Parts: sequence; C-alpha cells; structure tokens
Amino acid sequence: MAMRENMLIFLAFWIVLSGLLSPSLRIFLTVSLIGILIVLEIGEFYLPKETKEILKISSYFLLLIFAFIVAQKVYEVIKG
Amino acid sequence: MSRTVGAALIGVGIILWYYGGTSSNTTFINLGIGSIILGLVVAAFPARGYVSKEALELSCSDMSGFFEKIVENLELGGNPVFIPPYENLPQGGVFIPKVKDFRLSLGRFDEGDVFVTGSERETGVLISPAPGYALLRYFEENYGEIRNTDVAYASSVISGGLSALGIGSAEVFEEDDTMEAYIKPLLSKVDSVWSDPISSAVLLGVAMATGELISVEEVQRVNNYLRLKIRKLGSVEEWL
Repeated sequence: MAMRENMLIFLAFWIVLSGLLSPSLRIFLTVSLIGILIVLEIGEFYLPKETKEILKISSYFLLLIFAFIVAQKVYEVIKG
Repeated sequence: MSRTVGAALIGVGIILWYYGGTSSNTTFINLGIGSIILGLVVAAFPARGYVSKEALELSCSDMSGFFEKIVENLELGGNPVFIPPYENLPQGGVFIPKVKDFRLSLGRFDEGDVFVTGSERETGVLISPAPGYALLRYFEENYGEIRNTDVAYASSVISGGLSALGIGSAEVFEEDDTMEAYIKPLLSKVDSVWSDPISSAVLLGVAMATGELISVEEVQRVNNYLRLKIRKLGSVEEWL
C-alpha cells in the first residue's frame, strides 16, 4: 500500500476515534484540526495536490472555528 | 470510484449530523461532521487503477534493454552525463559519450538530436527527455519545484514522491564536488542507471537541483539498491 493510502487511513481512524471519544463538539473539532494538521505536515511529499487542497481548506475552516472557541473562552474569563 | 465513495460519506455525514442534532447526541453530530470532512478528502483522492511493481517492471524492461543494446552496439564507453534543462534542451537529458575523456559542447545540442557526431571525444548518444523525466514533472507539480534548490531538498522531494507512488526510494548525499546516491531501481536486472526510469529520474533531479551537469562514475549493486558515485562537472554555462 502506498504512503498516501496509509495517510488517509490514519486520518479516518483519527476522526472516527475523536468523534466517538470527544465529549463535546468543540473538542471534536479541535482534535480533528490537530489530526488534519498532522496529516498535512507528514503528508507534504506523499499526498496528491487535490487532496492537500481539500485538507488545507478544511483546516482553514476548522481554524476559524477554533479561533471562535478561543475568543469565546477568553470572553468568559474576562467576564468572570 | 473515489468520488462515489466521497459522496456516500458526505451523505452519511449529513444524515448522522441531522440525526445527532434532532436527538441531541453529540457523538452522532461529531461523526456526521467527521464523515463530511472525510468524504471531501476521499472525493479529492485520485482514483486510478494501480498496477503491481512487477507488472511495471515487466512493461519497462524490454524498452530499457533496447536502449542498452543501442549503446552497446555503438560501443559507447563513457560514463553517462545528466544534463539539467537549459535553453536548447528544455527537458534536460542524458548524454552517453563514446569515450571516458569526452568533450561536450552544449551549444550544439538540440531537442531533436539523438546521435551526436564530431571528433571521437564529442561523439555520443543524447537521450532527451531522459527516462523518468515525467516522474520529475509529476513531483514538481505535486510537491514543489526541484530546479535550482539543493541536493538535500531535491532528494527529499524525489524520495517522498517515489514512496507516495510506491515504486522505489532514493537518498542522495552531497560531499563537496562528489555525491553518493542509494537508489532502489525499478528494474532489478538492468545495471545502467540511465535506462532505469527511477535511477534516471533521481539523477536528473539532482542535476536540476544543482543546475550542474553530473556524471555517474561508479555503480555498485548492494542487495536491492544501487550505490552510485556521482561527480559534479560544472554548470551549463561552463559547457556551452
């Protein structure tokens, strides 16, 4: 099996496991973001261009959500 | 096929997300969103029929054998020289000189040339594009530019690309004016590096990265690998 198939299987396992084990949607999205970033970093030379594009778009989307989650937490802390 | 699987995963994801939302079940919502992300990735995954490495080797071996026969019949005894792309040869190439003490004048080369004639030191065969050039083009399109980078970076790109395609591996180490390469060739029974598409792609990639002509001085087979001693010959401008 070529490396890119291994990367896809890793991502599938990561997402399914984090989906099953995460107690909330916020944690799931953050853990998924970490998984996608790992795959993007390791798979730089292994993944085809189109797949990397989709992964990058997904990571940007999840980063936005992550920024929103962080902002919300900061607001909660400031508000007391 | 991958698009169908991707679409199915997205469909399942939407249903799971909807079901999770209506029943307030976080796990289903998580799995729904995860399934949509995976569906998008799978849909973008290139769908093509894979052939085994053996089948690829069987398909290429006769062609490589033919190349070797041409060189043998023309009694070309020089070490192969890999030429990076330049104005006259936009795809680069490999030149097999008649004698070891050859003389090159790159200004005389043209894309359509095969047999290069002149004095004995200038005679040889020019193969342009070199076998494996399409692999380098694929790597450049998918993983980044190789031209005018450095040997370590080019080696990483090529090695990663070969592993991604599941057809071999290569490592190149630079030591001043010489280099050492360990290449797992595609063709196990072929000893000339220039006729093996993978070895040739690696060597042309190194030439492209350094922007210099390189010559293969020594080839040694170590188990499934070829151990090559490579010498830098200088930039294209020096040989024009």
